[in-house]
Amino acid sequence: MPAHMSIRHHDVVVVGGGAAGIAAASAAASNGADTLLIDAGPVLGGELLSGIPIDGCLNTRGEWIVGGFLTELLDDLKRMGGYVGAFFDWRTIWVVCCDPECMKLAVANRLREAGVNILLYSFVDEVVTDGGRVRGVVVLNKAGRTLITADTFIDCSGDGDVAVGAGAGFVHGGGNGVFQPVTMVFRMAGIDTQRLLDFARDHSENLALAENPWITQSREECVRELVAQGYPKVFLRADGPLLSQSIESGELYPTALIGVTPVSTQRREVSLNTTRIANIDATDTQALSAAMPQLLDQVWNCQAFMRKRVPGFEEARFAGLAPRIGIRETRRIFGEEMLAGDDVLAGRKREDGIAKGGHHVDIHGGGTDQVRKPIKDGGSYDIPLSCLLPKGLENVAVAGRCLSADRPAHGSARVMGTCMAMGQAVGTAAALACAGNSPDPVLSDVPVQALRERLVDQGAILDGTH
Amino acid sequence: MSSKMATMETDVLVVGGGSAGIAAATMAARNGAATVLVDAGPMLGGELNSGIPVDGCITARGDWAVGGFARELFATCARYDGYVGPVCDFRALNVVCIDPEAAKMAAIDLVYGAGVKVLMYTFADQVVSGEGHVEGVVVRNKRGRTLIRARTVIDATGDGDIATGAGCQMAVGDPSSRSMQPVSLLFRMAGVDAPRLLDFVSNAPENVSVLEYPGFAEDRNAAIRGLVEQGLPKVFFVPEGPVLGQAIAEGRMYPTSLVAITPISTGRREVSINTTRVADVDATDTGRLSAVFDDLHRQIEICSRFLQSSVPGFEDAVLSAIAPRIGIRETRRIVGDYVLTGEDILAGRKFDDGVAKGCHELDIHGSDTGHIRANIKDGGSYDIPLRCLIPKGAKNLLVAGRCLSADREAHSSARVMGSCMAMGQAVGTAAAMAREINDFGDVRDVDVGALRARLTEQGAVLEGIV
Repeated sequence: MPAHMSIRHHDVVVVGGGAAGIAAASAAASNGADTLLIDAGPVLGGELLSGIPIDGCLNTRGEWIVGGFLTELLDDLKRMGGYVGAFFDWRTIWVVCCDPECMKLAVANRLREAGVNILLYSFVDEVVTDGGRVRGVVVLNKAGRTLITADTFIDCSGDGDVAVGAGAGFVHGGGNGVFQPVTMVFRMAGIDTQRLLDFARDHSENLALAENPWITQSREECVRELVAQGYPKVFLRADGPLLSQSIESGELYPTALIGVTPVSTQRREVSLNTTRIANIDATDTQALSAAMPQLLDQVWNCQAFMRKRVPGFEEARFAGLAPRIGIRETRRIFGEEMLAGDDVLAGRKREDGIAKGGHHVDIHGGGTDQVRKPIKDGGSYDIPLSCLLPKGLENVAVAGRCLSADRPAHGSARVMGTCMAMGQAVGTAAALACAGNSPDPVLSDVPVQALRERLVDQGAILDGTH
Repeated sequence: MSSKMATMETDVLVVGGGSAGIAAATMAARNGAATVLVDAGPMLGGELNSGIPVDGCITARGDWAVGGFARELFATCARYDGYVGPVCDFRALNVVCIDPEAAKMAAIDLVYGAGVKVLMYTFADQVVSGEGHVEGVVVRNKRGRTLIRARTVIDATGDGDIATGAGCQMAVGDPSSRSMQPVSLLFRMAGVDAPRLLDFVSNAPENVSVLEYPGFAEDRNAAIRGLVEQGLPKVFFVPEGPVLGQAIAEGRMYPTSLVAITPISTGRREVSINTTRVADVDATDTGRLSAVFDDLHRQIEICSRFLQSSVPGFEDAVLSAIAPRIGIRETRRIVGDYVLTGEDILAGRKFDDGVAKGCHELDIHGSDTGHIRANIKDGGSYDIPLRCLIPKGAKNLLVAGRCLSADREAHSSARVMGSCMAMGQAVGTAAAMAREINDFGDVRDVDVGALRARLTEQGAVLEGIV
């Protein structure tokens, strides 16, 4: 008996509801496109729900380089009491700290305001192609299979699932099975910020500070500024005495960092970015599933370590796990153009830039290994649309960490601030493409200057910063 | 080009990693079966991660009706500082309160610790079956398709997806109207002043429901005293009381039959809140379920504001979490060799082939303020026979969890997590024993007496309580 498949059509279909996907869907719908956002999971927001801070929103100089959708999301959070603030880590980057739980409400609110249709718990099973066009995706969920057709598709799956399914070329991590580690972010509540900052001041040899040549202050001045900021934003370094001795003695697993970030002032709660298993191919579901116990062992190990060894954490309690394993690196698609590490490090600007990145080149390795390289003059670089258009596909764009970039450039552009900027750009481009007269819109036909103008009108930051 | 399908073989395949599935997989593996557990999501534990208390573990009289896996899970939560313990609501139930974040850790510990092979992020796509024999299940994840061939399959999907796919007869919701109990999105608030909340309950007891089960106290006043003296924020606000009733009348709250507050962490002064609801959503209709995502989030915003502004003890409390997924009370039920009835459960009926016990009240949530509740006789328990966990006509397929074979009334009691874990343990053990006995033929060939003896040996409670 042949099985039934239902069908539906939208102007724009966005696959993947992480930071890039919600921005893309929101921008497409706000610009008039009938938009469907599909996610395989039960919730929207991706890594925004993990507790990790939003990197890549400001450059090292402290200039905001991402606006638009991000600004609206942060405004919602402010209204709901879920915005902690933007902080300089006095190491190399500015981060934006939010409450990941309140974030769920803010994300729902953004999508509601934009009028996005959502389809959760739905796995993209097949990509239906016609030459260089994607005609539809077949999604699988409890209701069965549905063929979802659209004029344009935006792949925000993180892994480039749609583009690759349609035949796009790609590279996988660093090659030869090398991937940045996967991480389970967790949270602790009830910390004593003042005690932690006193410790930071008195034992600053444990902190990563002043890694960026743009910072002219001495380490001592950096510590003073960090402490004066008054928030628990502290980066414990692997080669400081506390961590190196603890790793050496086996009290702590080998790690490059314990990144402590405030997520809620009222709950006195922080997130911790530290657990890691390198060289797991996160598109290999079995390998990813098998990583879980080791990651949770590290979580429990680390929370005990914090309580025992780090002042300010004596009375703190484990307060939660991220909803899912965080993934830094899988596939990068081959686009019309490839963003290069040199472009990133030089802070290259372009007339056809449609999003900005400002995170340092940040490639985590196994154990204590991590490559970190600053962007020139504490500035930002531009990402052209051509890095978001898979080569050979007319009506597919990507946004997020599967962009077309070499590995160093990806090490910077993969963070959530940049993902949202890319998402807004391609969502807007898709809406503009669908608004034209062609029944088969081609994304590379969207006039870049018109797109840039629309983005700037809607709050995106494309010019005027370092 | 045809796509390739991988294969995997196992003794027991469990589909669904909620409370029933983790119990089934753990006990199957511990009893010697090679076991694979598949879940579509990024985490194991299902509703255990929601913050809702674990109902159905302790009778209203105060006897533990569930042991074995459930008790071990609680002990593991305690190791992760996440066990509040048994709490009486002085209304109708003794519930077990756990920290849902610790439950995530505990679920992973127990399942992986038993040697279960876990595939997360993996959708069950097709059931391969004929003549009542399920040959296997085709699953789909980012890696592609895999046919998992198993000698016994356990359907712990909640929705009876595997039984449905195998062509088994199913029942849905209310048999006449096909209406279903509402879906709910649990949320949590931290920084609750429990003494203040209990003072308020003491001074305005008309707001809360107590003594629906008459055995808890002499009279209402004594029940309120008991609740207050217990010292924990376990409070069941009803719309008949002025605080919630007026808020609903004035539009400051959506219509609901309850705002049920449960302690989940004393250290974080954190509670879960069970109140949001959208009725008559068929949760197997993914489009429809996705469409209520937004309503439920809006209700959370409304209710947290209501609590902060109208309920003493919540003045300084803040939103601290939203459950990882929408909670589903009711979808499909299998039609098994026996259909457990409302009369059975209300009479506390015992069966010779009982393999699990239930003790939760009859509990059918309706739309808005509608809610049918009735006590089990003498505050005791009833037995769930193995026959309720075997779909009619199926040979090597078992179910556990809320898709058991029951009429709507019995289902409304047996659907809770304590009973789900007991059912899971029973069918996991039965599946493992099927190999020893008849090399995985018909699960009915498992000697129920021997199964009961094995279950009892492994901590299950089958006898000796009212």
